[in-house]
Amino acid sequence: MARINTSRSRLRSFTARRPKRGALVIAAALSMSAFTAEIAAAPMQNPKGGHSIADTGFTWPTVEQTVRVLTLRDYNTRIVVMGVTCLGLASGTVGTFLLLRKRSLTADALSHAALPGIGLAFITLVLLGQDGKHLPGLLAGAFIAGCLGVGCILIIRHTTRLKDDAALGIVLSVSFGLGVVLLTIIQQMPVGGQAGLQRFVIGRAASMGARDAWVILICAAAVIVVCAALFKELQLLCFDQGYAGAQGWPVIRLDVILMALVTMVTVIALQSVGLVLAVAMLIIPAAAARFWTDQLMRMTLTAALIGMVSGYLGAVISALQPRMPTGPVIVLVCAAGFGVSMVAGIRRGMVVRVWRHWQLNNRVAMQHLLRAMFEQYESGTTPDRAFDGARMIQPRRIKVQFDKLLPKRSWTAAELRGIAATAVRRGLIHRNDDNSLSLTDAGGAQARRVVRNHRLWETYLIHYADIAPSHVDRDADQIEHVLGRDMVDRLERLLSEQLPPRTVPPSPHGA
Amino acid sequence: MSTRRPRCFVRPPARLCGCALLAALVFSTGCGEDESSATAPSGAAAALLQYPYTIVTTTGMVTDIVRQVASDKATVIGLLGEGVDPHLYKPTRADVAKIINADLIFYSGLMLEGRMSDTFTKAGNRGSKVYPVTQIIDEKYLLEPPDFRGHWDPHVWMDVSAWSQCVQVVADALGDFDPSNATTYQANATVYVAKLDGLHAYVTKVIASIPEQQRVLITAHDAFNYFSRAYGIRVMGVQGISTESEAGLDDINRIVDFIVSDQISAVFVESSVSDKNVKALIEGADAQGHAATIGGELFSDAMGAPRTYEGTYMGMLDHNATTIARALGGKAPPRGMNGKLSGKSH
Amino acid sequence: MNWLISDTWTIVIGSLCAVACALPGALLVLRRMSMMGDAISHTVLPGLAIAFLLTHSRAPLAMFIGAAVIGVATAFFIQGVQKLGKTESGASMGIVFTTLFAVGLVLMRQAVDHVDIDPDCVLYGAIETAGTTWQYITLLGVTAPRAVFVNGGAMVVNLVLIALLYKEFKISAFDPALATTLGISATLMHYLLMTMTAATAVAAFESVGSILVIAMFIVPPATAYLLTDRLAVMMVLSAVFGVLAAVFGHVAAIIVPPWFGFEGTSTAGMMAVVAGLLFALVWLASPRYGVLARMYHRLVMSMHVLCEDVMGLLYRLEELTDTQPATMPVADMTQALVARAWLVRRALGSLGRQRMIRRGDLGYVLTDAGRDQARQLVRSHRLWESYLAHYLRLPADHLHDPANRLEHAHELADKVDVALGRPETDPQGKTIPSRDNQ
Repeated sequence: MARINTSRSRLRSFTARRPKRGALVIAAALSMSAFTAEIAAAPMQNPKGGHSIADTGFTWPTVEQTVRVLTLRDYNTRIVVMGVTCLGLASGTVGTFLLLRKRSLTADALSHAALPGIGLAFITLVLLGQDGKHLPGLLAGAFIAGCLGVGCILIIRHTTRLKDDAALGIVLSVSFGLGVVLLTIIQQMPVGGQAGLQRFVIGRAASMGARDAWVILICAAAVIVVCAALFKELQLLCFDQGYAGAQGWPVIRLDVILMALVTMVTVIALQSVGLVLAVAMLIIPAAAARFWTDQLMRMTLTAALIGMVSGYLGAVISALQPRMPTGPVIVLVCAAGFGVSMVAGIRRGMVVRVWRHWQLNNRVAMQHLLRAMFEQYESGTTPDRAFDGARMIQPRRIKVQFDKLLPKRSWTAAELRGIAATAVRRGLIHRNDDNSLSLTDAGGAQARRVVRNHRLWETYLIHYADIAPSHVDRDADQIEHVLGRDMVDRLERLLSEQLPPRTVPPSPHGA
Repeated sequence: MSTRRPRCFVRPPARLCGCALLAALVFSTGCGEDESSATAPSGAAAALLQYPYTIVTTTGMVTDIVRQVASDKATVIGLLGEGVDPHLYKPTRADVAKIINADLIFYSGLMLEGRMSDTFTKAGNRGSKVYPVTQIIDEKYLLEPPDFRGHWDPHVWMDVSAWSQCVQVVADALGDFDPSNATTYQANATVYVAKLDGLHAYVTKVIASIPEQQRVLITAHDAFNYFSRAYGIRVMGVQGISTESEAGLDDINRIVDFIVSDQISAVFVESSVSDKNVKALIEGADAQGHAATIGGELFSDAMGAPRTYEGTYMGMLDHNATTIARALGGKAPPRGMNGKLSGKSH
Repeated sequence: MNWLISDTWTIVIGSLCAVACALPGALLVLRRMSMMGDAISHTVLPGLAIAFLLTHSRAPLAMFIGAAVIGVATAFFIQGVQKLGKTESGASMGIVFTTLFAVGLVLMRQAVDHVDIDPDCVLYGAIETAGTTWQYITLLGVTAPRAVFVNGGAMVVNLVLIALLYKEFKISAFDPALATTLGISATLMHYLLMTMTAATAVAAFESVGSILVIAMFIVPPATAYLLTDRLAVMMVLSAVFGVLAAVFGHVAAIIVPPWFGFEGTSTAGMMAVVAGLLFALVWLASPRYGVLARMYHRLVMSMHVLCEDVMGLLYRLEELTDTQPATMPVADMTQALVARAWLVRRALGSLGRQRMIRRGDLGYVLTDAGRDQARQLVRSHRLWESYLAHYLRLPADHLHDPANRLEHAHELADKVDVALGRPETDPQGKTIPSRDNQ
């Protein structure tokens, strides 16, 4: 990210502000005093302004600096790393359930829903003659408003046909509006201290204190205990709410417990690390974990791990480079983790999906080739008697010309050649000297199986599914490739009156 | 730089009270036209002037200047209460009504009021008398980031000597508007400027009384650059000028290291910014065995409670300077320059 | 209250903005993407930062272009994550907006920390000032505030696009698979909708601020969705709700705060709140999906069931004691039926008016007409018990409760009777009364 700066800004940057990382402490102090001296010396003509204007160049941190950060020698680094790691753990865990409930944006809605609560808390405090900017008071207001917001979301969700996103959106926008209405009124109140009220309870990751970190730690522990205790219930809630309800699970109560956890995590995250990180940590790790596994327990653990690792890495990066806001950097690390997972995740990642698709295509094409060969053997255009009805005796003695295969399916010559080459490599097909093709023994056996499945299925569809024979071939093609052994056996049993066992039935289209 | 030149047109009164939606819609097109045609020279307006006329201002600092200069000749309405963050200010409909009915408008300028500056500029272009008070300050004097020329730091009022220049803008503008009282305005301005000079001297004195080593102002956000330059005190803000700005761990660590190595005794919170990052600094320094304290709450973008001394420009600066000086080991009377400070330590 | 010309314009602008947002908003609600407006309000920050870095200007035009570009890009990123990662739409929105927002914050800290480029400061307009005389411009011979043209333009573009592609939008919103078979590219329609949304949102941000836009994308369409199943009606209704919210929102912003001694408050915020109140009203009172309507139906239904239960109870009492008519005190009834006393009293009242029961010496007794009715009921109950025992092989002690629920389906009882071969007694050996009085 640091490279985004314009080269111009790098040229203009103050050399005096760029401390040598080696002796960081003294250098930083010296450079700052040197710089201020520069300003103080020319008070009226220095138009350059802001002394802390970035030295926006990128320098690699020294080994010493890196060691200092990685061993968490600085107090603030220690606190922040601990806080964001625990937050990653808690958010990743809860976020998994939220993602599966399609309520990922709850944190965002809550952050807006808290606004009227803050406003009302301020008004109440002022009316009680207190200082309006009393942090615990404002936080209590935010928490109560958040709970009410969640209550509204649940009510809308359970009593109307609106979906979760609309329920979130309604609560978000209306309470945002109400919050602004209240803040505008607060601005007219004859007391001081209204400025910045909107963001007063919103923390920044880098300025986390020990108390924040402890609160997050306790919150993470609570989340883990509750999720572990109610894992099975929550799992059912996420995957099959209807079934859970029918089985007599207290669906609404479980939903309330889950949302209470979310509210707790969100409010705590909002006041300690700020909006963007609070929202991102609940969504991104869980969404990334989805690419790695289909199993809920593993997904929860993966999400928690991704959350923790990105929290740690982001905090470390922001401690190694100047002017790297901690919260956003953690979000970017998280996003990078999501990108990697999206591409490389072993369950639903893009690579795996492309690979699976490619494999399936390959298998389908191979079966098409074998079937085309088989049909060619069958069609009697080959005068040789080696092909004995459904039995394969010495299939090698039959030769199929390449251009006979070409019209069998809608493949180009190049495609066909490619598939044939693969089949030759796998020992299913033998290429004769005159460039014609023959099935090998193994290929013959496999071709028999493929054609048999295909025709069984075709017959089944014609007899049992009322599909017009002219449409059958296409459907059978799609399904035969996934037919398992037992399914074939069952079909055989079903169709046994028509077919002698263990043979390739004739094509239902007629010879 | 056309936006920084005084406007000398008179906006005709727009007294419209159509209530029915349709009728008003039709009416409105006609109204827009006769508005632009009716610009009269300033003298004509002055002849019909009724006292007190109405002046609308934005921030409390501007309101103070205008109140002092106009004294009883005008009703001064400050749109932004003393505790309102000007960066994020959005007007209400009542504010719009006040702006429409105002005879003169003064605002701070330099994009302090955000999109509202744009609105004021447009109002000026259409003939209202609108003045950004900072227009008089020499561009060379203004602080700007080296990369982005022209995007000046708007917190000029932190330097009393610079802010007192703005008094002249107000006096001249009022003199143009109401020539019969021009001398009164000039006299009022002189009195106020003299008071501000006294304040400037006081701030300079108390800040200079801080031991050289301790003369560092560490605050929550970057609003004190003019203060720094005018009174020779180093400043470090944890986060940048924008409300969305956020510090990194490295930034925090560096400031903590600096506090420890230079044995800085106090850091400061601001009334309009969360005190968390400043508290983090103190915790960090504490972990290294250096006990720093919160020196007090400073007023940066917003002022103190209304109808108190801290709710005026002079009280605000007095409070800031006194708090800083006393917390960092300088010599300043506990109740400030005039003994008017409430002395409440935050 | 002194009504100003700018108040009229404020309402006009608010209404135009509401309609412009509600049209794509209806589709967004159906597609479960109603949080788009909010997502875009978060992602404008990097757009502002980049536009500022490129132009070194904070002029509204530069900021607007930066925000518009990033707004449309947001829509595409969200769609990309959704398609490529097969991620749920809410999560993809969350991922994209938090990431872009974070990019914006890092950019801001790294490069433009000493210039305030907060969206509130440089981009968002205010609807309160949008209608003032100094915002007038003349376009095509019409003089009106600029925001009227911006929002009106957005509304007209959206209206024309949706009118032209109504069928395509509708099919791809409800059934993307069907759309594909009909030769409509659901993906293309989706991108078109997202682009419309982003452009509308940013245009409106610039002229009226973010709150109004976020609210108008969601709340009026969601309100309309509670009233109708048809897309066209839903769009019209959401436009109507949007306009109502704009009108009453502005009026409320002017007249409500003075009740508490304040001057006034944010019009945009009040419009959002009024939109929310309208939603709450419809939620309560909608004839089909409203809470009150459903509560009423449930109450009528349970009253009906209770009346039948009372009659059944009296009939069984007569059977048990072999007296006609048998009397039962109200208190006993309440206890036997496990129902609230006031409900039972209402039921008794209603039955009395229908002349099904009359007051006896110690309580209530069945009339002759009531006895006929009650017999049907008990017959139905016992037939259902037999049915459940026969077909579902429920044990005898589990028969009563389900039969109690099913007994109110009298029409089906005759079929059950036939299916079971007209049994004489139920599984407990009690006589099943015949259909007609014997």
